[in-house]
Amino acid sequence: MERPGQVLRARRSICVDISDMKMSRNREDVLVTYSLGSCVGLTLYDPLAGIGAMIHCMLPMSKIDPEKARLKPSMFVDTGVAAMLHEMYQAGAQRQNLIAKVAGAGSPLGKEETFRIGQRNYTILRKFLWKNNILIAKEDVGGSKARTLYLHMADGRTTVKSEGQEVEL
Amino acid sequence: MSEREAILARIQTVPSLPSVVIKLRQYLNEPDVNFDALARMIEYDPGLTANVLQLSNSAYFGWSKSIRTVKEAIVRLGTNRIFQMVLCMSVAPLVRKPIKGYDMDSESLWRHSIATAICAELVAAQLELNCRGEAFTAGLLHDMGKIVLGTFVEVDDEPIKEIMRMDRLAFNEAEQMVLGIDHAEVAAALLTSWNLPDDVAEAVRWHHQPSNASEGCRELADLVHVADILCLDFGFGGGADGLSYRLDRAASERLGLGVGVAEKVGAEVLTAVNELDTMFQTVREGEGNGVQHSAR
Repeated sequence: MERPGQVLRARRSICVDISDMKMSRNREDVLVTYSLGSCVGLTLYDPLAGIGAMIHCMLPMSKIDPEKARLKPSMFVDTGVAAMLHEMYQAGAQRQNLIAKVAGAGSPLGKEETFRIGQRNYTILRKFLWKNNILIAKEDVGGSKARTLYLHMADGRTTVKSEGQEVEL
Repeated sequence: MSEREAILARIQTVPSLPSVVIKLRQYLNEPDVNFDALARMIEYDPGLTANVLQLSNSAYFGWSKSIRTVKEAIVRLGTNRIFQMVLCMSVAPLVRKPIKGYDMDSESLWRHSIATAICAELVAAQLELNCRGEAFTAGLLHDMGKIVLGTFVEVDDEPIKEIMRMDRLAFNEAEQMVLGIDHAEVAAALLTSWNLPDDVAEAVRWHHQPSNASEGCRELADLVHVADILCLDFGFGGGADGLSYRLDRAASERLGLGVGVAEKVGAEVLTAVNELDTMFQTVREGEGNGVQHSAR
């Protein structure tokens, strides 16, 4: 029963930290991750099942530190996105319905960037999704901006905020 | 007075480091450290003692066995570690504030500073660099210029951001164009006014252009440069500047830092930053933390 003064359908912001993944099937939720530099953020949304998830991966491949990957699979694109898909399928999402959007994978200025972490994060993510028959619907990647990524569970909208401006992906 | 001169003059309005930090620093340079005298200096303040003991038992700073007294902490961890802890406690109240001119919330610069300190120290250890003793300190303090510009001078960042976008400049280059000085030079001037060592100040001065550092300081400047960029890459506390800095490829080449070590360190930094950040949430700040700042 509704109580007087109760706020209904309030938006609930769920923060996805660095090397973290969150899933939701609640229309009131907004999943958000901050400070995407060379890290890569991926949102997957199944509009039919009403299930969405967001991951924030720091590094491309888990082979550099398998123990860390065991403890924190979302740190790496390969182990993190595999676990994300597994969890979503377990919850009832269907691969053919998934809408994938990607943000981040930036890099410092200069043509000869030494580490190329952003570029490699993106390449591995794209390859992994392709192998799983998931195409990227929209993306905002590269450049030297820091980005904040949102997934609005009410309608599956994905937005990216950077340099004070928020745009829909 | 030019804007540059006005900014440098404002450095005098930043609180100086607590006297216990300066005294600890002096002890580091003495060949025969009197551990009892050093312990007494810390134990004089109960708040500082509690915080030092708490941090001494943390996974990052600490020792595998529990530490019960300040003297035990000094003997087990070394004077440099104790200095780093007290320095962290001293700068925390200055850094853990929103920095308006850089679009940073109250935790952004703090997380970026401790991440860069940890990253610099881990890279220095992995590569067995000569400058490893100063890695944490230089990493922790490298962006203190942003406090002076963002909080004490309250610079209008709009023209800086605009010129950065229009002319495709690095953020520090845009600062230089608009203000006649950048946050790295301001930080170095602040550290000098705090009587911190010249090599730390010089490494901080050139942390965006490490090839300009003198030969004696170049390794430390290279180290802070790559640690800073990696921490921005990994999203530890960025602001309006984003990743808009130039990576000097020569710095990682001089250090011998390849992508494998950089990624391995990145994975370690996240755990350490979260641990240290959690510890500092419980460490008492301001009055009673034992590191009251002196008025100038």
